[in-house]
Amino acid sequence: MSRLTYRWLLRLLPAEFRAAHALEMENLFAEALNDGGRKRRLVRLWGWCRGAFDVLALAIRLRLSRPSQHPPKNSKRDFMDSFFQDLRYAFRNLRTRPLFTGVAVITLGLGIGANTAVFSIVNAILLSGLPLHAPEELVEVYTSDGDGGYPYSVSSYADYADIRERTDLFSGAGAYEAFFARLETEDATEAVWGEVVSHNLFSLLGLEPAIGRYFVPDEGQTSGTHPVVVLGYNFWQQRYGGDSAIVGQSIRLGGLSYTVVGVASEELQSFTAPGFSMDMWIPYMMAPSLPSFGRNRDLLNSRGNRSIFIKARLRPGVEIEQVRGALATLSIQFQEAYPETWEDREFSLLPTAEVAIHPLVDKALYSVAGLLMTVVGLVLLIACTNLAGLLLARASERKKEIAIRLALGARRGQLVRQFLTETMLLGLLGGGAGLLIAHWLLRALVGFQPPIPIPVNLDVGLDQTVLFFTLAVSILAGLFFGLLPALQATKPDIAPTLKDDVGAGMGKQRRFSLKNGLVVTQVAISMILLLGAGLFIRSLQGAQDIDLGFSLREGGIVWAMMDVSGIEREAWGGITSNLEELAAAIPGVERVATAEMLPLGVGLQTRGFDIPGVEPPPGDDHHNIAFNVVSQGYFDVMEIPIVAGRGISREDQEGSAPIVVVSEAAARRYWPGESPIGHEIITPRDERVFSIVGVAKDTKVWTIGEEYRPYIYFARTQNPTSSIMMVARGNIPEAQIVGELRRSVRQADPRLVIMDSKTMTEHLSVMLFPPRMAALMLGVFGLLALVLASTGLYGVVAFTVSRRVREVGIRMSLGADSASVIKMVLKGAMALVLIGAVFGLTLTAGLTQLISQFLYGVSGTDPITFLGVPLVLASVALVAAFLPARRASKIDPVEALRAE
Amino acid sequence: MKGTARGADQISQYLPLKTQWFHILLALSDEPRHGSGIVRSVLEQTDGKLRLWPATLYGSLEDLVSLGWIEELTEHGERPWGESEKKRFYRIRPAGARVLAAEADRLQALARAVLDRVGTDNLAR
Repeated sequence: MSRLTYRWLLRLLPAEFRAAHALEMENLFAEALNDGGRKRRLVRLWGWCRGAFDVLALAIRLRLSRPSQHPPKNSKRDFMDSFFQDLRYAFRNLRTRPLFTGVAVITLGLGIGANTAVFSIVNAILLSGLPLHAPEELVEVYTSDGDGGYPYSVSSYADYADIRERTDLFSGAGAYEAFFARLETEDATEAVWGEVVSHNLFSLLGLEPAIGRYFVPDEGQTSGTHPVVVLGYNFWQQRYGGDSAIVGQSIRLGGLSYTVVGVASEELQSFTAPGFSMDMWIPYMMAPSLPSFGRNRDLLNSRGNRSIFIKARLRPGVEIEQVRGALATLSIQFQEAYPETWEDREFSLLPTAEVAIHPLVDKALYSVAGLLMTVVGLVLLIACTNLAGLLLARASERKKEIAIRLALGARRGQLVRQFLTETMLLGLLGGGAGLLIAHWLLRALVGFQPPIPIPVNLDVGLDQTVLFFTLAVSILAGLFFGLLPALQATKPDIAPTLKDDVGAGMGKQRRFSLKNGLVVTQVAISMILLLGAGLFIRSLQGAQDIDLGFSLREGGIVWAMMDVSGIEREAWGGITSNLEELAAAIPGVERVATAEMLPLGVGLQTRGFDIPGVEPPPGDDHHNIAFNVVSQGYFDVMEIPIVAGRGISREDQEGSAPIVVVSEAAARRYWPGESPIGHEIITPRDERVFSIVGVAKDTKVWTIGEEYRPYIYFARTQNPTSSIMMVARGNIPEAQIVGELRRSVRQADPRLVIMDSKTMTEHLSVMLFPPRMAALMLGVFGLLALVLASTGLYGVVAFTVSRRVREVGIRMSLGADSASVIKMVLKGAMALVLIGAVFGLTLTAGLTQLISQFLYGVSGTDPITFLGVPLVLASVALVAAFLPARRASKIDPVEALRAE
Repeated sequence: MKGTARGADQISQYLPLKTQWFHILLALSDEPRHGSGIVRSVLEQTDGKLRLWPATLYGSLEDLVSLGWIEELTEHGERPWGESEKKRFYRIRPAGARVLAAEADRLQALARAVLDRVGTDNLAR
């Protein structure tokens, strides 16, 4: 194979040179490779690179240094020879017209750069996974939610252990789950983030550590006996400066000492999701010892404790459908054997290759990715039509030259090939500019760290896939915008062109020429993009105007976790009360409250409840309702009005009667037409009965786009929680409050690990992040489209005017004044804009259904957008057409007619 | 086309000589060789440090032929006995030998200048 490849490579060299030396060069190359030794593949690969570079360098030197010095010996021209000749010609052509070349390269660079930037993000998130061994054999095993619900949910460790035993189906299975823990160093404790994994997960996936080792079977046998840890590459670099002496040392994690056995490879960021940079991995057998897992939970044996993800490798020769069948049988067995935990559940299976993060997340990401790629694709399309317009204009200038060459016997194919070589060269130059622009864009984009308390380290470098994508896009773009003008320009209607001069075909000028078609296309596409941008900007406005149901005023937030901090459950209530008092004493702080979670955080917790007198939905045993656990000051601090009854009061203590406050939506849903006060809610597990004492106004809970949902507020004093989100508001700057709150936390209990701290403004920005990003990106790309389309329009109108100099001259000498000339030119141009705009509006109207799912508080047919955008577009188009029109009106009729 | 005798001035414009040209001329200085022979010879005289890759080699050979410093053996009798007909053999021409000698002189002068200034002992340190 290698010889043939090299022979193919040699075709780059001029024919004469090849005839003289090719055979010996092949032999010599084979010799050189063998000198390196057969075994070492790397050496051979290096030899290949050297050999290829060697040939390439000579080819360029020979081709460029002697342009067709030797006339071809036989009439059958060597393909590569003529290709290089075309290339030289194209280079010369582009160099002689730097303005055209510059405009073309920048236009293409913007279009290709936008595509490359967006594609590298898509690539980093959805396409480039870990370098796994034989990924086609890997599958993801999920357990469905109960009640025949969502099929791709988490599993329990006990179920995983049974899956692992199925060696008839799998050659191996591994499990993983994320955790928070506190890392204790000499000077401080802090929250770290990692994954507990089955000992075999790394080897199952074929991963190699950077230094040291991953886990061994001994470390996956018994609970709590092997405290070992593998550090994440970034964590190791940042904290230990990449010192390999770390292996063998120990770190303190959640009150236990762990020995560092290795550092993960640089590519391995996390199993949970790309971009999440894990600090460390520990064996699953150590999970029960981690405070955040709750030391008393029967983590390893309880089938109801579902929290892990499973990856398995199919046994060679076993088909995925076979495994699906076997797991269905196993599910039925489990449903019979473990009715309490397995009722209505089953295993489900997906090939790992089809899952980027998680089926649910993937679906959302793919639709966002699809939208973005469409947008930048359209921008590139405008750039291409722009260039096609420029080339068409240029081609008609060269019409005479081309006609002469055709008359002299040049074949049309040759001319087209020459044209395309030139446009593809332009495409490649544009691709180069695009890479620079993309690099710059990405640097700016990656700076937008999503405001979440997880270290995100998304590797959006311009890797091989991205470079290949850019190359392909550049060549396609070159072909695309080059082909039509090339075919048009080389149309073999020689005679009229040679006979008549510039004004050829003036009388039968076609109304719907290719050029006009291009303008219409451009206007239509930029209309679509601008409408999109308009909708998303309005949506951002809408998102900011949505009534969240609680106060957006400034405030400070600190989040701590009791269990992660290793604090016993009995002490939770006391420490939290103490913390509230300390925070309330901060000068300048007026109101303080704690809650298990804050609305519009990253999660939503729901639980099954019984409501006496209200039947659960069909198929359900309980009402699944979202809830929170809050302190008595919560409604006050968040400024959530109590619309009936009372809020949580100081009297609601551990020993007193259990109470809850429900939201208006809950009252409407479960007690329609009556007051819920006095009714009861029961938690099925421990059969505690809570009586409803008040109704609170609705708030958004999870997302700003959601409908108000039923929500239950429990009293913190009656239900101590591990997670403590403290909110404080006062008359000092919010950043200062945050700092003071952090100090109070340390004062309340030095063991308390702060998971996150932020201002209320930052907290709210999490939810505004997606609409803000969408508005920003579409706004930028829409603007880009407008600029490109208007320069395109300007170019075409200017060109049309220059071709109509004689006509304008005649009209003016016959008495037309400059205003009527301007009117004439504008009429022609704006007709095209009108047609394009109508197309664009119609197309967008058809797409609104698709776009609406991304919008907040604004309909897909928002009248302001659909009226405003066409106005903006029309005004810009008017200016673009007016400039050349005015020039036409200044034509001196005498000069114009003399030009003949 | 092919260069004949050139004066010292014309030689000096090619100095310092391109590395691969120098080594090819050196390899051909004792006997005619073909491509593979030149590569082996250059590897030997540079302790394996310089490998001439095929395109570099034949590109340089073409250059040297057109400069008139080496020539291809065309006469049947001139070719070494028993070698394949397909292999092209090259030998050095007087002009090439003069350039090689001039380059050797230059290098020698250079080495001497260094040694005079620094001294052998210091250099070794």
